[in-house]
Amino acid sequence: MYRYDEFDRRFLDERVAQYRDQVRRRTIGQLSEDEFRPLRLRNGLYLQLHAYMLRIAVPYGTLSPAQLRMMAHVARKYDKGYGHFTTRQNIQYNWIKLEDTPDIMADFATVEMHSIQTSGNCIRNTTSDPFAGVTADEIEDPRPYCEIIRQWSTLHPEFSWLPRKFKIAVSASETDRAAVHIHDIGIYLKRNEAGEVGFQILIGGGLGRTPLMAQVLRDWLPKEHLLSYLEAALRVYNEYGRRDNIFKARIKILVQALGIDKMREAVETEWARMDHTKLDLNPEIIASIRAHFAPPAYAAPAADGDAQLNAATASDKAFARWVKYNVHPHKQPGYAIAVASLKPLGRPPGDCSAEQLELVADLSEQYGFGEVRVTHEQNLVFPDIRTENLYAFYKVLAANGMGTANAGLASDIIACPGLDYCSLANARSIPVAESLGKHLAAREEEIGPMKIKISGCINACGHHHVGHIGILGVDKNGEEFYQITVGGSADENSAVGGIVGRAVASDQVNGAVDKLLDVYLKQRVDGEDLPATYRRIGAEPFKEAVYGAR
Amino acid sequence: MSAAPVLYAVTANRLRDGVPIYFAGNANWSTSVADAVTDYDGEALLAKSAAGTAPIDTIGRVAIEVTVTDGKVSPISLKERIRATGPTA
Repeated sequence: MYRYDEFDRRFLDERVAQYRDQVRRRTIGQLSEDEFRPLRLRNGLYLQLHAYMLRIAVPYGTLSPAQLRMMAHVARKYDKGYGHFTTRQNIQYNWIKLEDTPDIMADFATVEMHSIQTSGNCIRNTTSDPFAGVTADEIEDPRPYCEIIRQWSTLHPEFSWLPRKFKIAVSASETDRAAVHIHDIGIYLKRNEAGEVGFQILIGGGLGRTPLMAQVLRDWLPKEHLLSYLEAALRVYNEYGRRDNIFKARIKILVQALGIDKMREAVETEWARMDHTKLDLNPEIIASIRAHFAPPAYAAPAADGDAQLNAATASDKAFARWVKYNVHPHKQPGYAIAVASLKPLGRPPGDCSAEQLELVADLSEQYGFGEVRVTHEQNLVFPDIRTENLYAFYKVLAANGMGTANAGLASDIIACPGLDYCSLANARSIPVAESLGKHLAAREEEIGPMKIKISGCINACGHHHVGHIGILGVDKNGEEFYQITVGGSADENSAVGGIVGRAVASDQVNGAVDKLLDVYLKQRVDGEDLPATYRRIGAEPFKEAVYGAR
Repeated sequence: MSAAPVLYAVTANRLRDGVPIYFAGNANWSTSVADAVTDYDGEALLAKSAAGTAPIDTIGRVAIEVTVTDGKVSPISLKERIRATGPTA
């Protein structure tokens, strides 16, 4: 993992002291709420329905045991004993007191974490592939480049007051586990025809009121130009992005208005004009950052590792199912990538108790190399579990509510906090997710891979537009209704789902989803996923199933 | 036929912890909606709530629609009901 240097530590300590004074001045009335609000938001502190909510950045979703234990400490001391992992790979605390926030930030600073740029019109936490560095299919480990972007974008003076927030994601491989296409800038590591590794740069993706998929800005960019090219793109956005209408201020609207060709022309012109020398990455810089992400000291595979695993799966059906869905191939023989589900049936997606956070830290040390990843699907990943240890590891997870064998299945639902917590929401998300997950669990193996995503409002924190089945909460005359979409996807074949029809009442959601899944199972060919079926047969069979023939 | 008159209460969030609070009259605020005073004139109630209340103690004072049944004050909107009683999940 990247470790802070003296500059990073000093900066963070100064920032905490500065914020502590801002809170002091607010509480004695020297600052009004209008003056204080932008300051607290710059530090990730929102005011929600029941309390303040503090969002802590988890850079590219990577956590150390010390950081996990600090999360547990904060949950226990300052919150109600749990945190909530988000679709931006961050953690949020829902029950925070303003007066505690300087101490919380000071505590997090001791483990090299902060909440800076988790809100506001700036470059947010860069997200990445939770399997980075360990997956067999990766082009190259994206984490060094995420870290380079993090350093460049943190308090970047030119991009601290953008027209609107700006999100970047980097994928390790062609198989997209980072939802690259729904980002303002999405980056794929890619080889050119000569076999050199560089980046494909996409631009203009985003969800919300106007869901758009990012388009290719540059098919291949040499590594050394990563920051200068990003800087050129951000400059174009900063200059031409709309500031007159918050709903049209994201870069996706600019790209849509200009067209990708004119956007490309503008970025390339700016890039050609600007001085690259201060931003270009020489191989030494890249190597020095990459050194922080060097592979751990992997041991040779155990001679009987596979035999032990096979014996365990043969004797324990629940474990066999968990291996099938929650374990993924590792590039190192003798190791596996394991997903700890934060989607136990009937519980809020993404919530993790202080005890669980501490256990995750312990397990990462006992069974791995002391590293854990957060996924944008609100689960946790243990990147390095030895094959022969999987069964013992699983038993601990299962005994502590994190061993549900549902990764990638219908009950592995993404959901935003919704109206139970969020001041922006129109409808509840968590109860819908809890109910639907339980409802579908019995048939989820028959259904197979399935991405269900729920948002409590059009801001789409639950990524509903790109769910195989998406559910959007809406308010109709004070009543909660849910608009359902079908055929969306957040992977490399990304697509916005189509609206099935008029919104349904909350007690009709499970039945409507059942009918959509019935169509899919009946029409599915050769194991295709639901978006593929949707592309092939169109929307009408799904609409007819839910609303009847018209 | 004229619409039924609407009853209002005033709510805000407490500065130090963000907890929802309700204007209980005479410069008093309560964390319980049951203690909220109500009035058919929301603007007048909002003005009353400002009198004697230190502005740094409350954030986002606003009049919300409520009903009173058997003396029990209950917000009308789902968002305000959840805000008053806590998360449902």
